[in-house]
Amino acid sequence: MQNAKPWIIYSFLLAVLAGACFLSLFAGAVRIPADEMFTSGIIRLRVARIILAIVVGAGLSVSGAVFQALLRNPLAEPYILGVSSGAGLGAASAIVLGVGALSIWSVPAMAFCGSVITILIVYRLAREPNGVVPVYTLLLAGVIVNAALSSVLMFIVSSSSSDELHNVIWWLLGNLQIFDWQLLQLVSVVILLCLSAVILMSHKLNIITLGEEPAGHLGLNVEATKKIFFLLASLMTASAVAACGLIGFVGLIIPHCVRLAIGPDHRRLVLASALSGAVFLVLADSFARTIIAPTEIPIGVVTTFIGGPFFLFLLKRKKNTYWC
Amino acid sequence: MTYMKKEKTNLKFFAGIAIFLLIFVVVMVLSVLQKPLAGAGDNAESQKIISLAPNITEMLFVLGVEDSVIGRTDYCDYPPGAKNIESVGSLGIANIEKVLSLNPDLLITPNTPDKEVRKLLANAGIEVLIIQSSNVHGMLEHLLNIGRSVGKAEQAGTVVDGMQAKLDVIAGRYAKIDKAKLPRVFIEISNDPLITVGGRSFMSDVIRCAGGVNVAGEVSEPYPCINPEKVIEWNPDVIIPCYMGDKSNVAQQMSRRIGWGDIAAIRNGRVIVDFPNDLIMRGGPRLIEGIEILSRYLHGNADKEYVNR
Repeated sequence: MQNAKPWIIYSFLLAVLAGACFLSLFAGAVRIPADEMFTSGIIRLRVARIILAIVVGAGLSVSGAVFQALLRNPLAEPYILGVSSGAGLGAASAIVLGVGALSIWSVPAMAFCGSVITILIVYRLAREPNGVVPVYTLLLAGVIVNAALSSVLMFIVSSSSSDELHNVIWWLLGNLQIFDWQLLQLVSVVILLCLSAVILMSHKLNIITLGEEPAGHLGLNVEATKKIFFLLASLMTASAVAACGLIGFVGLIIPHCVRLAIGPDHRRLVLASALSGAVFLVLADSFARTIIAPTEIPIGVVTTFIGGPFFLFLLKRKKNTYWC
Repeated sequence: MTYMKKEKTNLKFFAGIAIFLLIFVVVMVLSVLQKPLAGAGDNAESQKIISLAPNITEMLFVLGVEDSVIGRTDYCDYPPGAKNIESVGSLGIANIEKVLSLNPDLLITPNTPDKEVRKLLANAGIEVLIIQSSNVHGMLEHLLNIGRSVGKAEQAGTVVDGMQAKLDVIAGRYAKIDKAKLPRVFIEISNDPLITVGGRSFMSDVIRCAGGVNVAGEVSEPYPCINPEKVIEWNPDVIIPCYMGDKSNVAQQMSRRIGWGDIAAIRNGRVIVDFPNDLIMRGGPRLIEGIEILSRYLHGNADKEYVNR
């Protein structure tokens, strides 16, 4: 598929996505009678959920692809710079302080604020006086802030009562339940805007992966570009986390899988990752809500359980041509 | 060149973290040293009891042995007098050193302690009583057990008989109602994600005792994360949100949830936001009171005479 025309790849993925959505529409805890197919509240709920899965899957995958290119590190993923623990801390505070019940917005809003603040702290820590942000400092600062915030999160979790603790842990495990159209609209708009921006600038990711010095020699304003990509990817991740908690592995393996399939050219990789991530999350969520319905299992369990072996399979097949 | 510079920044950063950690450790050590060793020199003759759950503390107070209770958890807030007792930790997770330093005779806990901990407690001569039940009847049994362990068997018998009598009265009120017509209740433990109580939970039995049916009774896990579309299908008659914090606009929020507008409880305004959750979530002496209130919510005020008694 390395030499396939982009439009073939995109239309193939779009067709798969449409199929996945169709399948997902009929998968659920409840069987809907055919005559109520379009009027029932259940179908509205399911559609909202599928939209969220598409948007979040696309956002996390593209965010992962951007971080992998930006940090030039194959282990990079959307949560690597501490967005996850910042969001977790925000959400846990909301739940433990009891404002979770106040409004459907309080937990997502606190999670979003937590992650944005974390990103700003990490960025400030990594920035040198002359405005340069060395990638390795950024990575280190992110990992350390992540660890520090995780310990605060663990402190809050361990000192809260058992039912609060239960709720915080469930939130951290991630799920695609959505109750509010407005929240869904907001998250979708933010992620899709950032996504479009990344797609429009995707050729610059190719230059950045060459290394910062060569990229500078090629006439790219490296620092400005890094800053914009960092901001876009972080915003996408923060919105995704705010809406549905932490869903691991999507942002790590989808870009890798796509890269293995169609090659490392970011001009194709970004949109293909977005579509593949959407397909993956739609299917994973259908699985998570049907396997022991009506109980749901955390979607992170499904993404890792299915994604891990699939990734290993691809890696094994293409070991020789794999980039690092 | 740039590499050296990076190294320096990191070094500075790590030094900062190290200093922070050092201060942290010093503060911790100081705070530990400042606390006097509690329990030392206490030579009261009566039995000394530590309770590791709010419902157990309430049971001990009802049995009139509150003066023997020397340790409680952070969550034991009822009766108000319980707050004067020293806390030994969080729910079911006691600080073992603290427990040992208080030198109790009896430890009553909702969780089965680890083997190691049990050995430790046994060596210290501390009797352990485990109070764990997933139904109302079991809790009454446990109240009797506690009564026997603290030498108040007779009193416990009276209390339990009284509770059982009230339960029978409540049951009598809906005994004639066809089982299929009993109100169907959905308990919401958490709203993000949606968590309810399954068939094997204590709360499920509480609902049954109050003359209701737990819509999630078919689910076997005690606290399942549930698919919201299933709630639409269950179409409960009553919804009780059981989380902490301000619940004043929960009913309004629920009606705005995608697809939830058609649920009977929401359509008929039967989302109970002012329910005293502690009463039904704690399997203590006030449980019957909670079941009574719940029953009134479910079946109306048909039996006012009993309520006022």
